[in-house]
Amino acid sequence: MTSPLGPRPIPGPDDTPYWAALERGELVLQRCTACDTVRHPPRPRCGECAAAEHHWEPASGLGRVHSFTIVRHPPHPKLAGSVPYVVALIELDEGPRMISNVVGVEPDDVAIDQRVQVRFDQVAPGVVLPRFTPRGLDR
Amino acid sequence: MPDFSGSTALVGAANTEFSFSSERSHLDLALEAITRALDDAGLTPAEVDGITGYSFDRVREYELVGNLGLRDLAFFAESPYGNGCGAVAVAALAVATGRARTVVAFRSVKAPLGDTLHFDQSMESIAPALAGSRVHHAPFGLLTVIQWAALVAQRYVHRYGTDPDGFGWVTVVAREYAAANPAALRFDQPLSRAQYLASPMAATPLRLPDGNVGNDGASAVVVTSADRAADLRHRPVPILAAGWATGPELEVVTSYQRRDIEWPDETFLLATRLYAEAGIVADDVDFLEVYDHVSALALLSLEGLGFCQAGEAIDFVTGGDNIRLDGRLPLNTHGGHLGEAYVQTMNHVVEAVRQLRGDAVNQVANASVGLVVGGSLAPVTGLVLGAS
Repeated sequence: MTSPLGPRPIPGPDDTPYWAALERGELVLQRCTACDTVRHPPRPRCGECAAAEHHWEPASGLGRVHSFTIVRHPPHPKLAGSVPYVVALIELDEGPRMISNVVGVEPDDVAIDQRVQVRFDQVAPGVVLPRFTPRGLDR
Repeated sequence: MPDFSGSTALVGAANTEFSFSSERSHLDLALEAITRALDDAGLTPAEVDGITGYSFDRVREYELVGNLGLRDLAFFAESPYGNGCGAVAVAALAVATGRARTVVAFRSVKAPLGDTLHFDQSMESIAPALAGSRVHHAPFGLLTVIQWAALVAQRYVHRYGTDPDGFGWVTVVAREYAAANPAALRFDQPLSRAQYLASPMAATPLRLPDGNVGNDGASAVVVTSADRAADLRHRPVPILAAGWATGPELEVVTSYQRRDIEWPDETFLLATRLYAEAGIVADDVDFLEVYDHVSALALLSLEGLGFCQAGEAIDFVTGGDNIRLDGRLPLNTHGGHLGEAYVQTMNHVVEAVRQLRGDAVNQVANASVGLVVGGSLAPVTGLVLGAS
């Protein structure tokens, strides 16, 4: 188990299936049944057509770094020993973007447009976070 | 739309003392700012029949009723979150439509701004009800506004190939203004360009002085009708336009699903509305007071508001001359949130009133049109103010 860099997420009515899938080692996304648009983070309605009907489907776990920041100053005293760390906005191959960490690489070696793939880190009992590594590293 | 422009005016404006730790309550600070603003207008609390604030504020309207000795409020409303000119804009609408005659808009803050961080301060857990997608951000250590903005700033640098240290010109100039403002937290503490470049990174490409750490203080302004304003103590500051905008796919700073995360669509839409209502163009604006909790957000606002083209804001601020007192667009002339204090745009409104009366500490010569705008990449509100 690795430690999380922030507070432990508490699943809510809109995203329980998402967190439950992560616990099984699966990254899932919502796909709108009406217009086929894939969305993230989980939410009740489609951003394109506002339809409620959707299904959950597995993501490839592949994407690229759309942007990132190297956090050098701890944003909370509890993270004093954790900096530097990389927070990235990952654009998944399916389209939506998600916030995550890029790990398994020196922070200075992270770059925009870098290809990344997901890995599953258990950070607390019953809590798995999707983090990303550059492709070909640290499966 | 019914005629709104110029039908209401700001007639009083005041701040409390600013400090990093006042040992005073939110309520006590709010009461002081409100009574000072009423004194400034030459009005008494008994004449107040409306109050507007922010949903983030800890102070509730009923507490003000009791502590100001008011008999009744004919109007009260809270504007969402803590950012922007929404409370003033709503106050102006209430006066313009006859809901109330004298409306006070206020904001009271204390450090640390736990009400803006959206997570359990113990860092144990975060629940989705706190703030939408924050539950999908915070577990990865993305916790603070400067970090949220850093992701946008990094993309901006990548897209436009600009100097990653360019955001800091906003910070350096804010600190120049603050250094000359005795009420500012950073009074007499200028930050040179060399000192900025030597300061530690917070979250790349942004450095610690690019964000503020929160403080204690309160600000308040008084809105009444233009007719009545003419009989009060100071030259009234007419409200020429008040506006709101969101644009599509909006969060609070973390609008990461937008196609272009580095373009402040909401601010562009707001500017279009404000300029149309006031009958002005960007070039008519004599000074800008814009939410600058993080330097990069203020920089993006310059593009959305039409003061420069997309991708050109760093060029616009580089060297600082364009945004100094004698430049094309004096920016955050009191020192802004980065230099004076962080009262979530309400101290910017106070500064704009002083500029347009002609009694600001760092006075813009012949200021007759002022623009005050909340933070980009969030639901945004703004005001165009005039002189009389």
